[in-house]
Amino acid sequence: MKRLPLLLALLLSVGFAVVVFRFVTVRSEMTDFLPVGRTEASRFMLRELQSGSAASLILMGIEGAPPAELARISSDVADRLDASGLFRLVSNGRHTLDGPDQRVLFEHRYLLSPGTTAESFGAKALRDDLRRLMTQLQSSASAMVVQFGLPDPTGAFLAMAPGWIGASTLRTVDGVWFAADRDRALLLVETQAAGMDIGAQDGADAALRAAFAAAKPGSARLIASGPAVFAREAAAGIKADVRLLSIVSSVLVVALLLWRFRSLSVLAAIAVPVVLSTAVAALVTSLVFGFVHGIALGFGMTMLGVTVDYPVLLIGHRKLGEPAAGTLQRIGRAFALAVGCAVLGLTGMVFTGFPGIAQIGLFAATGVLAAAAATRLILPRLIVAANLAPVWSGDTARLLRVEQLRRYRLWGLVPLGVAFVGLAAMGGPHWEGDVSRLSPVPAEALAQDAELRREIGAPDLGDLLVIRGTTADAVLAAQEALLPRIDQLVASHDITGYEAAARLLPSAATQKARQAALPDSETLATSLAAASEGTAFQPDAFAAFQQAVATARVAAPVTLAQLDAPAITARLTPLLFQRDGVWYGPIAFTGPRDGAPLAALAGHGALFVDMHAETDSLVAGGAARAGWWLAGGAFAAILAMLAGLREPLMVARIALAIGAAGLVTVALLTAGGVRLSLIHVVALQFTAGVGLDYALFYARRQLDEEERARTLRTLVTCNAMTLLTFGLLTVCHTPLLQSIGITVAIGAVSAMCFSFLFVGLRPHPDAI
Amino acid sequence: MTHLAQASVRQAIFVEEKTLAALKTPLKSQGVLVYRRPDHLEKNTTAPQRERLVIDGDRLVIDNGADAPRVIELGGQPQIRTLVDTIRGALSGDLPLLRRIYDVSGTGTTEDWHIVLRPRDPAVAQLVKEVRLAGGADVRSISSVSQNGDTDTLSITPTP
Repeated sequence: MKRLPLLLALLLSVGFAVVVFRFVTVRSEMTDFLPVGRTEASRFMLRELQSGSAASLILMGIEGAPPAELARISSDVADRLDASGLFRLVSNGRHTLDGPDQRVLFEHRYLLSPGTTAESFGAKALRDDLRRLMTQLQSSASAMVVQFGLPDPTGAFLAMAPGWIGASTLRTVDGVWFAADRDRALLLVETQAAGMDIGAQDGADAALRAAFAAAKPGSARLIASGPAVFAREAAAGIKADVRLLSIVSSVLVVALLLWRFRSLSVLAAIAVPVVLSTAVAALVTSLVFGFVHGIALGFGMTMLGVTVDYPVLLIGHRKLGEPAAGTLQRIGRAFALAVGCAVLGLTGMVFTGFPGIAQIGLFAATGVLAAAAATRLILPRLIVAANLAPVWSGDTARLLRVEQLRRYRLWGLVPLGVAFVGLAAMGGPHWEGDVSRLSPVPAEALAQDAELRREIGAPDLGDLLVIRGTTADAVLAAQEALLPRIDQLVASHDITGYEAAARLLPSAATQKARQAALPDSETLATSLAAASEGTAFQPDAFAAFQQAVATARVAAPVTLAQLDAPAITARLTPLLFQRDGVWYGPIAFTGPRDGAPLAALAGHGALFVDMHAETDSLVAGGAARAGWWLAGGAFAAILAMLAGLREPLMVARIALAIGAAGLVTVALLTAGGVRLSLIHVVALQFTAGVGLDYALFYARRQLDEEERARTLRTLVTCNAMTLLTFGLLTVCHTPLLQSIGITVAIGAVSAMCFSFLFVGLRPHPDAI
Repeated sequence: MTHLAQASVRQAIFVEEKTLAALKTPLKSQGVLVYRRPDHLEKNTTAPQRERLVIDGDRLVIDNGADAPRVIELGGQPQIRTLVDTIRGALSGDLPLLRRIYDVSGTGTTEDWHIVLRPRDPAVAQLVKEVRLAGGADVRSISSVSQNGDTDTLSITPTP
């Protein structure tokens, strides 16, 4: 039973991995992956946007049918969503404020309404109001007029409507919101559940789809967007990616190894360090970050294509019957250097400052180290015990004929030159400053979200003016001081509108000023008597009005707590809230505002947070840092090689090969229309680490033809596995994984070719 | 009143009188009613102020000629829908529909009957305390009384 130790080791490794993955939490939420803000305030706002009530808004569009049909579907869907109880708010234009919301606002109309002015209670103004009321009483809406008009002849309640309902630019068809310039019915809903509660959002999404299907949509289509939708889709995409990568990478690698070694025992031996390393990587990542992100796990599975190299290199280079020490002595130095370089290649990812990418980097680096350690410490004994070696050595002479290509290696400079000239002609690599490439949300989805947001007139949360204060009232007062300046920006069309708590809930000072404008009971009675003289109104027709004014005159100012009604709460909560003893009142803006002087509004407790600039600068900073790590990693790798190989000329050739691979990769990506981002930079560094692996093995002073053939065959196997696994990333849903995949796949193949040409020794003419 | 339901298009002249607690004198208006089976109803007020009110299926449109027409989707306004159904039910003689919304009690003969409708739903009762219908071969008047005693009476004279 010489295979017994091997089987035991495999069982132990798998057992260890099973235990680790039972205890590791895997998360797929994209909030765990995105960068955090630069300043304390922006970090706070970012968190608030991701988890606050803004994150539970879903924007919907229904299109693809005649307008009347769309309006019908919109109403039907809204009714069903309302009835489902899963949504705090469902609006499609048909519902204005009603029920408890209307009651609360009506009750406090004289303190809340901007229509409360001293003149509006004078006899002259009241006379006009009474004339208007009489006309309205003649109409079919007379019941409404009795209910709302008689107790409020000055129209204070109506004057509040623009603030609450919004002076919207939306078109309405059959009373339902439509986009201004196309036939698309619009709905805005807010889920009861938090936006990032993926499970609950799945339920909300199912309710949306079911409501739409039940409305007999015919040819119409439903589009839905919003942070919660993105989070759901990203999480689903990440889960699908991880599943795909885990299964397909494993199958591909196993198939390739079986084809290459034709031995289940070799496969089992290779599995030991690979399984161990994946488990160790998950464990370490989980210990450092508290959880393992799905993207890191997916990437970790792809890393199989690299970690599997180490056992393959060891077994592939072993001669049958050779003691482990012999193989290690021949490849040991190259092996150690290769592992070191691969880890150096991952430092860029670890230190970008982006939690998600750092996790990928840590997962991969730990995996590489663990795989190398297991290969070095455990594997030799196992393979010697089971006497594993490549049984198929093939026709060495034919294989080595490939080496003759090195005679023409100067031609290898041609693609390098073409890449250089091409890149120069294209104006150098194109850089991507847009943070959206980092987000797990596809660009088309982001564009659709921006479009719906613009059509609905929902504020884009890209930039905010945040007002902070010790009390809610201090925040409201500070906002009121700013509002005239913001109104000017609306008047000058710099912005189309804004959302601010103070527009809905005035500060105590403003409410007191309104109280002061209200007439006392006698004055009001006199004015009313004068105004109703000669009209058909009874003397007591306006008793409710007089009572309401008298009450408002002595009432305490209305506070947030008193405005307790569903739609009002849904509206005000994101605009005025308390966290850790500080009150925050963000003002959000709508409409195009490129270059609008919003930043100038900051100061005096108001903080301008430009989320786009914020994240853009984070990305730029991350890219710069990644650039430095790339340079530093390259420098460290060169030093390590100089120390390890002690052959400056050889090190120069290795550097040339890897540099050439990097240049060709960048040129090909650029030619393919890819805009390079931080992701590509860290992926390039990673590729360089893997490429050095190849170069170092070619650089060995090779002993004989057999060994050279072994190296060539083994490296081609390694390269094929890297290509297969990273090539697989390009079909992922997650843009970030796609970017890494394409970079590494191109880079690894180029590194293989250039290492073969430039690093391996040129065969002697008479060596054939 | 069951045989009312048989005619497919009906036209009538109406006179509306609103007696409101807030006013010393009643408000009077007049115009033409058009009902087409099963769910189209038009109320064209011609004097003293022009107003056209059209109910078509689940949609109510009010147009006074001056402002933009107001459209109300009845699906989202159950209470207004109830009032609309009351008038439609009364004009079309749809007693089962009325019974769904109201407790119905009636007196009289087929030539001269009086029916009193009282809402079952308290939310509807907030808007209308009771509806009184009177008629013979056709409905002669629909009179709704609100909680504060305001009364809105529609007197109908069919035209051929």
